[in-house]
Order: sequence, then C-alpha cells, then structure tokens
Amino acid sequence: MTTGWRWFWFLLQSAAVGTGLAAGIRIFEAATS
Amino acid sequence: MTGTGIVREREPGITGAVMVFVSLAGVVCGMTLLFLAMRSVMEIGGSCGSDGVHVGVRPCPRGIPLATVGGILGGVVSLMVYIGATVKYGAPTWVWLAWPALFLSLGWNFLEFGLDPPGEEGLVWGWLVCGVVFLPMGGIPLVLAAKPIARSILPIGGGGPEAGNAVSRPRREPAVLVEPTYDPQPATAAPARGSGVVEALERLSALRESGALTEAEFDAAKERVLGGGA
Repeated sequence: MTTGWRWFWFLLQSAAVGTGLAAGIRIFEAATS
Repeated sequence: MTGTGIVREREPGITGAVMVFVSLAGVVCGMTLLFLAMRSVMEIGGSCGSDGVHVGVRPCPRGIPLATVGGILGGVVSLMVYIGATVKYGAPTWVWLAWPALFLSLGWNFLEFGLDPPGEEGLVWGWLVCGVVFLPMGGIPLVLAAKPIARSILPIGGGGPEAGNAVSRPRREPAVLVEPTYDPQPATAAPARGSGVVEALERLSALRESGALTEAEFDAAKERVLGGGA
C-alpha cells in the first residue's frame, strides 16, 4: 500500500472516529433530554 | 499482483470509503452511547429498572435503556460491517483498538465511580474490583500489540505493502512480489540474465524507496535475486 493510500485511510478513519464520538454524544443527549 | 511483479493499488471507490467511514463511526458511536449510559446509571447507584417488574429498583433515567441496548446492538452490527468492509476494500484495519477502547473506557468508569461514588462516602469495592480487572484487560493487549497496531494504523513509519493490515493478515513472502521480474531469460543467456538481475535490484530499490518494501523484505528479496543470478 502506497503512502498516499495509507494517508487517505488514516484521515478517513480518523474522521470516522471523530464523527462517531460526536454522533454518540448528540444521540445520547437527545435520547436522555 | 500483476504479471510484472508490481503490486497494483486496489482503489476502494466511493462505496468502499463510505462503508468504512460509516461502519467505523457506528462502532465508535455505539461505544460512546454505552459509556455515557453506564455513567448515567452509576450516577444513581449502579442499577435501575424500567419494566415495572423489579419492585424497589430505582427507575432508569429517561432514554438510558434505549441508549444502552442501541449502543450495544449498533456497535456490534457496525463492527461486523466494518471488518467486512476493511477486508473487502483493503483498508488498514483499526479493529484491534475496539477491545482496548471498550475495556479501558468502561474500566475507567468503574474506577472513577468506585473511588468517588456519587452521594456516598468511602469506596465502592465492587466497582473498584471491576475497574482493576477491566483496565488491564484493555491495557495489556494494547501495550503488547502496540507495534503492529501502530504499523497498521499510522500512515508513517516502516510500513510494507501489506502494512495496513499488518496484524490481521500474514505478510506475503517478498520473493512472491518480485520473483517474476528478475529471471525472465533462459539459464543459458548469461549476459541477459545479468541485466535482469540489475533490473530486479533497481526495481527492488525503487520499491524500498517508495515504502512498498520494508528494509527486511528488501534484504530478503535482494538475497534471492543475487542467489538466483549467481
């Protein structure tokens, strides 16, 4: 796997983790409020 | 791998990228819901019931059963999809972080609330024991597998052609990658064979420079090339 693709997947999956955290917090707040 | 021995990059396409993104976000979202729901229940003493059957149990805070069940089910389903998507589209897998993330986050809750329980004096030993069990369960595998996990996740460092899946997939023999390239001539054509060796060494060197081959793979492949050309 080339460095370019490794960076692509790294950034994509980092963004996914951030999105998942934000979504989890928002959903929890919405469900419990 | 192509006939010339060059590893061709597998492009994930928009579907692959979206699948990996959404499924990983789902896993993290599920764990976050579980983590927060657990804290909410521990805030009120560590147990609750909303079914009307368990008399005397504190009622669950609004939305907590849904967040707990949804977090677990959603997280598990997303994890399955994520594993399938990374394998199918050749993405470096982060799945090895799921276990440490789960046990470290829940262990942290046990430890924090065990040491300082809300509305109570002293320690809650039951929670502390759980925390002391959970934290090593998540932390020890993370420490032991730190190197392959980092190689799998980080885009920098000594990654070979399969570094993205360094933990999950056995690394291919380097000779398989280059074998067809260095010996295309019959054994009798000595001068042509010599130039084939030089070509193979040049290709290997280029692969090493580009990061497609690690130092160890390069050395092993070079030995084979030189051994075959002698």
